[in-house]
Amino acid sequence: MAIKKLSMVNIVCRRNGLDELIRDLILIGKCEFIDTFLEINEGEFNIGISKEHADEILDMEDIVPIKENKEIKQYTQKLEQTLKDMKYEPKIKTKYMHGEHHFENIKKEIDQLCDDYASQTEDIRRLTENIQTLEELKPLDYMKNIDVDFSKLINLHHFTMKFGYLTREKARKIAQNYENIKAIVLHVGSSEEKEFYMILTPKSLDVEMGRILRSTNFMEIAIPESYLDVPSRMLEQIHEDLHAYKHQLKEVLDNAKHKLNAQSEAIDILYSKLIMEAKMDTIRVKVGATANFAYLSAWVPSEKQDHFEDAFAKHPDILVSYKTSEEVSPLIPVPTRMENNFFFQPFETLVNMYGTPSHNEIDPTSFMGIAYVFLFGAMFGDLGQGLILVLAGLLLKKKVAPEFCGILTRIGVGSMLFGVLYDSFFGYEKVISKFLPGLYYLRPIDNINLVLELAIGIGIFLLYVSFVYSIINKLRIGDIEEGVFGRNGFNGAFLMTCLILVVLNLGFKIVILPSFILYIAIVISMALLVIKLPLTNLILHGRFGFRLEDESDGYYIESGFDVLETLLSTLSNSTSFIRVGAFALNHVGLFIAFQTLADMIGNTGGNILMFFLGNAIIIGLEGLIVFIQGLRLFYYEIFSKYYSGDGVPYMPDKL
Amino acid sequence: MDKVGTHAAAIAKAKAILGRLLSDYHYKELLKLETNQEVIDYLKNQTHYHAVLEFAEGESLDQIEVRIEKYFFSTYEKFYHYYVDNYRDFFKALLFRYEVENLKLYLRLLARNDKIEDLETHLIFSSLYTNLDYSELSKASTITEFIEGLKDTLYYKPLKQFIEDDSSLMVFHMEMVLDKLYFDRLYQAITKLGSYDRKIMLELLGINIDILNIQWLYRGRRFFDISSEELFNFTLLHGRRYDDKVVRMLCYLPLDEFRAFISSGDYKDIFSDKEYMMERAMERHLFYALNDYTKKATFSIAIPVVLLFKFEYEIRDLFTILEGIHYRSEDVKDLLIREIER
Repeated sequence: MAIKKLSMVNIVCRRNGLDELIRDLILIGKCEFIDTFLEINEGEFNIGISKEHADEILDMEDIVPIKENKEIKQYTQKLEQTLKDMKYEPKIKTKYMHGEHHFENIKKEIDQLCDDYASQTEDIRRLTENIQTLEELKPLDYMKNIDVDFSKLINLHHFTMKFGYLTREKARKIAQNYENIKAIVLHVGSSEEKEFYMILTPKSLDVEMGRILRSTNFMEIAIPESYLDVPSRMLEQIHEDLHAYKHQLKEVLDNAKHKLNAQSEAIDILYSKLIMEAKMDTIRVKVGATANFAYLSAWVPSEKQDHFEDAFAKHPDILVSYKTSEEVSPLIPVPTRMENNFFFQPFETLVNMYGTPSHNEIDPTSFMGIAYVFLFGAMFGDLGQGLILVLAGLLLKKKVAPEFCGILTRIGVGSMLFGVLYDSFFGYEKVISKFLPGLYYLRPIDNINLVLELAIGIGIFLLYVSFVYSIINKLRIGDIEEGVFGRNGFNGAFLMTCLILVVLNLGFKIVILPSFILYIAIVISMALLVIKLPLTNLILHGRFGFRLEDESDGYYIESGFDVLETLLSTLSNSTSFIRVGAFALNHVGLFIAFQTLADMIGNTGGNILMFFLGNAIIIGLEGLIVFIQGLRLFYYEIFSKYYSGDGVPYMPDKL
Repeated sequence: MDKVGTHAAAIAKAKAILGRLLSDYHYKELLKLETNQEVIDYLKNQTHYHAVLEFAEGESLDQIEVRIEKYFFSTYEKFYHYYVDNYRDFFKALLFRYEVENLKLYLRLLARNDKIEDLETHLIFSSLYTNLDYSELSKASTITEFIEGLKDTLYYKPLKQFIEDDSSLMVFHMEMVLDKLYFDRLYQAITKLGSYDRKIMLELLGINIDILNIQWLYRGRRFFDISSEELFNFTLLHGRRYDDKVVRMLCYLPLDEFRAFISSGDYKDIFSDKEYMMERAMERHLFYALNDYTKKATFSIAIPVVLLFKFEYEIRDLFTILEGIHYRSEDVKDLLIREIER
């Protein structure tokens, strides 16, 4: 659960063993490689200084980055294009990637494969091209009623005839300038965006006309010589040929497919290896290398180090050294590895939506998971409707976003539990209590005040929990100013406690401490808020006041306003949770409304209709609103307190 | 959405930055300086560039130019983020221009057989709008190779038809085609803005188009001997003063009459200087036209747009000053887009 430690591993290996090592590490799928030069430049790359490592250390003098292998991309394109032509989709399987292979061999295999299928791909390309050419001739249809032989038109001695199209805008330009264009421009038809023209010019003006047409972006449709005839006959011939070509293409494709399927495994293996090679290349560019050695840096899970030992053991002459994330230069960002158990994992999505925690923060996922299920259940408590949510989550898991469905299932369970407490089943109250008479039931509509008060109480409890998180997070990074004196630190929690006691005192006549003590405490707490920075300096550096690097301009004005805002937000943060109670009431109220409608209709049909309609609307609409309100409570009232969320997620290199 | 809601934040920001841009006073001071280091120190200590130049100690002039450009684009991107939907798309369309300008630069250099390998570092473009792999493009050694490198981009089809035995003669055509792509895209984006913004931006665009049409017609006929029919087909629609009828008439006017016609109208300043200064004169005209709009257009997209243009002209003037010092040019002042009184 929570945020797991990462270690930096520095590896030195023989240059000729590099590929294999990278391949093994990718297959393990737990390493996030970083640019080794980040570390080397920081003077951080660590291989342990001892005599036996002298070669490796001395070699580091002339270390250079490895260049990207552009051929991999070219060969991937080549293979993919060939397979795509033959409509074959290769499968990628990691089991094919194990074992030794070299790009040079892969290259040969690809060349061989492409040669084997050269005649087929050639045929396919030729036929597709022919089909395309003929498809382009279809606008000849506009001229099917013209009874002139095109072979004569095209081969005129003193005139050039062109057939083609223009865009609307350019057609307008030509139209505006007809009188200056020395050609016969005949509009023959228009499609959605194109205007089709026949253009006839004296041969002596060919060059000039060519330029003018080019400036209009005139697209000529070249009619192959063999087709030239009277348009109607041309169209007939085109239609016939098109049919024949399509038939041939299908035949060639079928043959190719037959042949391909026979060796599909070999192709999949080849393709998988190539994909692996491409992935390896993305890592190779991060590696530093000399003539003999290669230097790698990667983040790996701290507790899984022994996992890697096996992989490293296979490679002779390899130096491995680990560093904890604290030992790494602060200039190299430490990624955050979140690992939560089955129950909390889906809630990572909601946390990441706000921001990834940084590596030294506490992962709020488990807190959020429990509290979110609780809040959602409290706002949307219904055994039957909760069950629908659970079922929906389970059924849709495979089809839509699995994380979201996971959340749906879990909040559905929360809803069911509260449904039992609220004695509510598909909106009908007092059904559950009939079957399970001995339990305690809290029906919101009968206990309006209690429900609202409980909601605030829960909110205050959650705020205290978030204070704990906040204080731990701040003190972990040594931020005394905020952790002790700040509004989200000890002082803030203290101020909130005092304010709550005052409210209890004045509003409910519950006296725990006399008012005057509370007032004094509040004033002290507010004063601490104002002077938190100078005070921190007193503790840490022995002098009350500002230091050079502090921003002292307008500090007191800012912190004065900060106090005002703290007072307001403490009040609004806790009352904000009243919505939890309000939605619990609203949930019942909404169904009562549908019940009333059903009564007004007054027959069984109306009852059934309203039962389904009411529940559908409540689950769809209110469910969504409550989902959002819950998120809002978290993001705004709780996360904003203690959680900065500016970490970088840990993304291991794998396939 | 209402005008205030759409623009309030962006205009507040734009006006704040407008207030910080360099004034004539700054330029006069800058022009007195004798070394690039003095210019950079002055910018660092006296102007809004202090934020970017603070850490630029000991960097080369190229690096400093890159820093300033980044600063400029970060401002651009800020405005992008102030807006949503069609307004965002409009900003994207504006950014499209830089890509087009970069391509034009490549083509010009290739036509002169200049080296383009080092060009990459001098290109300006925003990370919000890059579709091109400039390092790959920089490997081309001829225009044909360059255009082939643009395959699969929207530039390929319109440019391809100008590949000829000697494509360097076609560079002017290609530039026109590229500009046209930009203006078409921008026009499309503007038509989707709110009515008031649309009206103002179409006016501004119209001025820009008029100027460009004049430039094309003049240069095309004077230097490239392109036929009037051909030029007319290249010209852009939606000009402000000159609609297609006037443009067509201009296409067929003898050049001295053409000059006289333009010089009697709104754009008379374009021909008021030497011929080789025409491009600068046009930019200057646009600069001052934009200036008027900051007063005229309240609560409109025009304010941020004008800011961005003025900002860009400012950094270009600064680069001119820096280069002027480098090449010991005497009349840097006349090369600036902004007019500085004596």
